[in-house]
Amino acid sequence: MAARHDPLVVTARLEAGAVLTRPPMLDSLLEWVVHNRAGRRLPPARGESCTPLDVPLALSDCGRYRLCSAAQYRAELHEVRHKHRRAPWIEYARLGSDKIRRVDTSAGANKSYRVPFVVVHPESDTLVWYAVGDLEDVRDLVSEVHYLGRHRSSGKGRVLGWEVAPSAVWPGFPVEHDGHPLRPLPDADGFGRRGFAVLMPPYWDTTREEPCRLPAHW
Amino acid sequence: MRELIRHEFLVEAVEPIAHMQGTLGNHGLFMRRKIRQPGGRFVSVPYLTGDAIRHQLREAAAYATLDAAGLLDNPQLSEGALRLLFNGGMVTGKGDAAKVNVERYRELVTLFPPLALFGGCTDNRPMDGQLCVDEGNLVCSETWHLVPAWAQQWLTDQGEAEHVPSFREQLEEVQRVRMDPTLLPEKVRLLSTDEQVRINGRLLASEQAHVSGDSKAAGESKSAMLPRTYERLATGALFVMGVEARTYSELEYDACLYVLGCALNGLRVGGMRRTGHGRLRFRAGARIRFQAAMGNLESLDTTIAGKVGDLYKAHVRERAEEIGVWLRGTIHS
Repeated sequence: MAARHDPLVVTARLEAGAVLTRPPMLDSLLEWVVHNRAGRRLPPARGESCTPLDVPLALSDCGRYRLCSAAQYRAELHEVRHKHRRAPWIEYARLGSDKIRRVDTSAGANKSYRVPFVVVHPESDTLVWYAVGDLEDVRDLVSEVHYLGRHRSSGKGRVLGWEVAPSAVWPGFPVEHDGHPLRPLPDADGFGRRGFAVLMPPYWDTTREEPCRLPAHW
Repeated sequence: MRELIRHEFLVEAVEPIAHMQGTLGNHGLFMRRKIRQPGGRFVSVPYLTGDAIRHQLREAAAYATLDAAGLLDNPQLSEGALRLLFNGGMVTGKGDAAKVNVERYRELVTLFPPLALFGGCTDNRPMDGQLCVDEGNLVCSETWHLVPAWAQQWLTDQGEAEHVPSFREQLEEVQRVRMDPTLLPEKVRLLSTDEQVRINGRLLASEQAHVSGDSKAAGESKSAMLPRTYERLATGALFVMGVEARTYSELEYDACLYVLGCALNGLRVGGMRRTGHGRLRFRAGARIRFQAAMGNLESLDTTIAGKVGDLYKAHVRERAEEIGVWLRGTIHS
């Protein structure tokens, strides 16, 4: 639980875009750092029950989500790139056992692939989150997040720097703006597309989805 | 001992680099990505993919481990083991992905530390790695604003920053031709008589088709000669590479440094390696520790420090038999 509840604006400056299938959530980034600092390396499995970790963000009144928005950005450019895999057939021949007689690169386990993915270049190369939490603690945790989005292990979504500053507030801050949700919110009256989403990290665990009001681009 | 550490390297192409993203007809295009310029416009700049560099590190880790375990002389590895070592494995449907077997994970990363660093799929479960490998940025006027400060300073000290060339100055287009031996009379003489008659007939048909303007016949009788062009980065091109690692023990840290050292000692990227392309050499490096109290920059030299890898090699040697059994047995990857 956050010791102080300051309205915050958190900005990440990217090197050259990121692979964002959905806008990243601030609390999941902070939980990832807390998880790593505790020396835990494996994320929970899908469907496994997990206790929310202690991150310096305030909880909503209903206690079902944290007071932080999804990343806010306007995509300026979409760039298609590809990921390749080729079976290491030379190594199969050099280092493999006699049992390996044939490598089929057109089907099965050794099939070569060329998968496209889209790199999003947000305006000014920045992603912005709004939150209520402890400025110093949030700054300390985000300083360890150096990559965002998918394909981080091969350098996509590299973060050049973070800025955490006090923010101006508005009605519904930080989870709504003009009545429109800035993150998935429990389903209730109001603006926003309806759909299924997860309210607390890990957001990729779709077994915990529930009816929600969804932000744009979700 | 948890360490979050970043290594940055300045490497130089000692051979031209041919790292293609695709072809347009008979023309090979160099891999490019969009980089925003300080003024706001985007430029497509040649680069080395993080995947290509990461694969070199993975390969170095695999060979270093097999070497330390004494398995290179008679490896006899299983297909699953090879896929895991050189490709990171795959989800096979064998095993239970729905359960996190922490004990099994600990066993595997203790037995084979590169698995922790690079991640991979074992027992039908993808495991995250602890290594992020940046895209290799070409040092050029279009990417100068992304070159780390230490590298800019180093290049300035070496007198190499007076003129930072544009990527267009460093990119060259070359042509290669796969010859058709049937066009060379001295090679045709090596054919059997029947074949010589057939080849001469084809040449005559080709000439006639050309004269009569019959494109269908010209297509059917054309030679197999293949001229092709491709883009490559010239020798001397400089790249900035970055590798960020999270390690949780001295052994993992040592393994990481050793793998980096091994990879940098014979770094090659891209294609056409058998025809004088792709070799890179280390020029300078820096290590950045992210611990708040340390937040500093150390410069690296071109050699692997004396004790780097000792701990890792001893660990692998001690478990050589176990590693051999594992790699030759059934791995679900």
